[in-house]
Amino acid sequence: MVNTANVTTRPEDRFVAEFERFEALHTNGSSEHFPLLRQKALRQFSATGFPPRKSESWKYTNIGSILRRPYSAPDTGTVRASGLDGLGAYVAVFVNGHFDASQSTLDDLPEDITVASFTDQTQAGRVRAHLARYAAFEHEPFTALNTAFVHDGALVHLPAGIALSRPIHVIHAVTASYAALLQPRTLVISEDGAQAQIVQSTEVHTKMPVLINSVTEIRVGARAQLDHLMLQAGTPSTSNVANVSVYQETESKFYNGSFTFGGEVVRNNISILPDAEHCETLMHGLFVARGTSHVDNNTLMDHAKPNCFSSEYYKGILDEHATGVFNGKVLVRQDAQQTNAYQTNRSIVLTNTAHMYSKPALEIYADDVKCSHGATTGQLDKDGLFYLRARGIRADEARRLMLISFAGDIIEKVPAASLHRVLYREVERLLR
Amino acid sequence: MTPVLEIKGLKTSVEGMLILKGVDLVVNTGEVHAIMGPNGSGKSTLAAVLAGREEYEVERGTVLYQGANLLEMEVDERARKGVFLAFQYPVELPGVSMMNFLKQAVNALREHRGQDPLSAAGLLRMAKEKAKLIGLDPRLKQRSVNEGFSGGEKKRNEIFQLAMLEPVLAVLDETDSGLDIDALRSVADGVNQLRTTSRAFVIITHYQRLLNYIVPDFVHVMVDGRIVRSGGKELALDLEEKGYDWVRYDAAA
Ligand SMILES: Nc1ncnc2c1ncn2[C@@H]1O[C@H](COP(=O)(O)OP(=O)(O)OP(=O)(O)O)[C@@H](O)[C@H]1O
Ligand SMILES: [Mg+2]
Repeated sequence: MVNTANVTTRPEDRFVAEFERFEALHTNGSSEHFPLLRQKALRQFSATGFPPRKSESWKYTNIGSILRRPYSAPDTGTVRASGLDGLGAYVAVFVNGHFDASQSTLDDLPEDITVASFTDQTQAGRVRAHLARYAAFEHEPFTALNTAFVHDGALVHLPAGIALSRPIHVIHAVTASYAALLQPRTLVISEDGAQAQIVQSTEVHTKMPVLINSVTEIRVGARAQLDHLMLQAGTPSTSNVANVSVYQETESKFYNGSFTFGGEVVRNNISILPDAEHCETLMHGLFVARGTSHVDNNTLMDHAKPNCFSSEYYKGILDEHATGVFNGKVLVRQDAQQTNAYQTNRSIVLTNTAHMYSKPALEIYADDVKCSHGATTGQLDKDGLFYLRARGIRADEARRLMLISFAGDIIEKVPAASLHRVLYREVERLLR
Repeated sequence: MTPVLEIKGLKTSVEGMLILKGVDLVVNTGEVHAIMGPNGSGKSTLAAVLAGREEYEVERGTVLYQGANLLEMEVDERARKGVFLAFQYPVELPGVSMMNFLKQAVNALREHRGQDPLSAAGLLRMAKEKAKLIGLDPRLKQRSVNEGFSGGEKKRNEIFQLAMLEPVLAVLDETDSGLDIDALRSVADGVNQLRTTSRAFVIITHYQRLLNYIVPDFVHVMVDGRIVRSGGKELALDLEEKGYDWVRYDAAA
């Protein structure tokens, strides 16, 4: 046998080639689209490449076959976003990555609050000042890839002291007749004491394979209170890499809820850094995975300063051949005395062909802290099922009732009450 | 009098161990039967077999419910057809709200009987009325099923469900244990009000006291997987006085 030279292209090269095509298409005009930043990110991506299969944080998630598909960044498309019924939000719609003013309902936003497209020239300065400041791409190839393609995106700016009563909802819809690469970018800047709820959702309006590689960076100003929700619902051939980077300033409160309802391979990289004292952080997540769906939640709670509180609570329901991963790290740095940090991961595995890999981790370098973590993975409680059936409730209905209440534990804690119905609806649909 | 329940030569095992070693029992509509007997004699096992617990293997014998083979019916089917078990250890269901639970159970039953589902308001009205009858704290209806309920509250909740579901055959497994004197009284009052000519009760208990309030038509004593003695309500008094050795001795003779 003779070794043949390896002529297959690296998947990275395909993405670089796609970048060049995309670049030629979109930068032939007026706006500059952060060329330096993007070039730098591309170089970084191209040099580092995707994480190797054997790397620790990708041990249980094989995204190689997804990345080897030939994707194109989609052109402008037309599709009606379905949105989320009953949310009552200010809505910003992006179709194939481009802001669609006609579908957005931002006109009645209070005057000094900004929800805008990156292409809005009046916001260029603000975007330039903050973009890629909280989501560093040096060690995150997926963030680097997203940054290289930054073209349009959503900017949310909340001025000091403002309290918004309705949520802001950013929708990214995609439609294409080819395998599409969608790279949503969202930048949320809240000034001192601002209060708001931000919901992000993605909609896939095509049966073609879609890779969504999103980056959301959030700065939570001093004493600000921000709730951030991420809803992922995809077709069986949608894959999702969602990167969320949060920077909290003094005495701020931040809630993150990540909800995953399907997709081929889903990887959430959520990292929160309270970089000042007296911050509070809630990090919640829920997924329901069926078929051969694979959902990986990779989280980092990075306690850098003293006197902060964090509570992480993730749950998952795995049916059929699904796999789930929870890789949750709570890092308490040496300075972060008097930290209270809690972490819990609970999963229900319904079949013996579904698997859950749970790796909760505490890494503590300060000596005066209160931290705990725990993980349980199991089946539905047999005694509970029997009790329900002994009251006349059919087996499948009893099962659904128990699963919905398992999920409800996370849903009920979502601060935006208008979202409870939406989330229950999704869970019920998946458990049918 | 028509038999609701006819048990003949019932032998069941769990994990290869024979627990019920030949039980015979006939219960007619309108009757109240009490089953007493020492710990571990198989009383709960009998109740569990009637409700359809799968861990219990039926080795031999037959159980007819309203003339049909009960052992062939699914757990939930039995309940819809009117078999109710008040659990010795009610299960906590965190996150399952009482009202949703009641709605599902009541409507499953109504569907079986060919009735329209009850409206939310109708259900609430019914729940209020029955809670009052049983003396169940109405606030418990706002909570998850049995979650964090006290021992007594759990037992009362079982009888509350009995009242809601109006079964044909109700099996009460030690509903009196863990109840304070007042609770015992009000649970017994509740049961007595639910006592009709079209409903039968099998009441498993260790204490004569409950039977002062709910006066049974028959008392049976179970020892080591068999009913070794049956009699009228005075049998319970004899037992209280003489202890189980008396019937044990009898059974051996
Ligand atoms: N699931 C099980 N696995 C093993 N043994 C069991 C199981 N269920 C019952 N048994 C055994 O069967 C016997 C009868 O138990 P059962 O619970 O029916 O007794 P009981 O009459 O209800 O007692 P008590 O008055 O204490 O409630 C006991 O020896 C018990 O240990
Ligand atoms: Mg018992």
